Amino acid sequence: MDLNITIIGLGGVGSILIERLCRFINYSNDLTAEILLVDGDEYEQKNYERQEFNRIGNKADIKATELELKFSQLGLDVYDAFINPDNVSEVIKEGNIVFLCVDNHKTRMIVSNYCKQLQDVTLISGGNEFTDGNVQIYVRREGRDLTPDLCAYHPEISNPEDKLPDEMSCDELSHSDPQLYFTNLGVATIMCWAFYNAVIKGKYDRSEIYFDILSMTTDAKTRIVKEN
Amino acid sequence: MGRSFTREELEAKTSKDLKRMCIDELGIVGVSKKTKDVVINSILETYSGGATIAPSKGVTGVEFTGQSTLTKPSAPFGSRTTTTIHVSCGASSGNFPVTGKSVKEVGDFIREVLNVDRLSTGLVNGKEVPGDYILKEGDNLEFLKPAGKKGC
Repeated sequence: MDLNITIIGLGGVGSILIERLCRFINYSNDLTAEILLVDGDEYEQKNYERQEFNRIGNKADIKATELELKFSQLGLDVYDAFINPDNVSEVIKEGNIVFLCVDNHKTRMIVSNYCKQLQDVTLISGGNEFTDGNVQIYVRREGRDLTPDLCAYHPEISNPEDKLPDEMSCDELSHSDPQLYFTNLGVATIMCWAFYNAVIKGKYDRSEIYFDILSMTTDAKTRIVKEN
Repeated sequence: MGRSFTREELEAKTSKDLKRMCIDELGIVGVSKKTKDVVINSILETYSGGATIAPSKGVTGVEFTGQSTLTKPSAPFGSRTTTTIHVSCGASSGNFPVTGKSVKEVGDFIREVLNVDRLSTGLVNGKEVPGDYILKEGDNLEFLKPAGKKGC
């Protein structure tokens, strides 16, 4: 199977996810992949607490360099900018598998709405609070939604109150709420489960998975696709 | 109710499986801290139509409508139905005897147990329903939890 993958966001979730995904594909006998890494942000010293990288610099660039050395079977490319309505079509193409690992609902809305215009796409999006999180799986085939898009049951995504990273001031960018490494790890792991089910097994009856570290529980939901 | 098991078949199951069977399939509540023998006896009594069902601490606030077999333990064999409904919000979930209740009533009752937001929308079997929707046997109720925002 030839996969065309786009990973948007290489921070707390994305930097963990990408390593696991690349290892799985690189050593699989029947998978090949072209992977585009997308992020306009830079790794900084303070990110070592939760994010996996070995040098300071642009996240997409640093991660691609690291992964090329470890996983020689993969084709890796870099897009070193944040997503906005003008450039989303440059990073997501027909047939793509998109992993969305960002920290704002506005980007989620832009990506989901763009994917809704495509014929075939698989979008796996993760997000978290301090000790809990969720993963959504949006599958579209032949111009038809097979699972609900990211906005369908989430008004906080369809009408986001937050801003894109490009729209934020330096003060806003420097402020970030605390996050727990284990929660980022939980989201990344469940995104891998979603990939294995939706892409490798073609199974996507569960379109959203929640987990909570404090109660040590997960729950997968089946939701009906809303009529347009 | 699915097929009935013999005592020997029930004894071959784990305590955990028996308790899950009580809650999910037979509508027997209050078994979580009972011994395996007591649980098996409860199941066999339920099969014969004469179960003595212990009240669950978790449902003391629910006012039954009188439609469920929980309030009609003498209902004839064959007419007994599973009365618990799976209710969830985010990763939290449980089975509650709320058949006949409206989604809004359940939300009010379950709010603190499952951490349901006051404005949360109810989905029944994956589809949005109004607050006055009356829950039926076999329904699966979810209260929507907002998506996590962070991740970078």
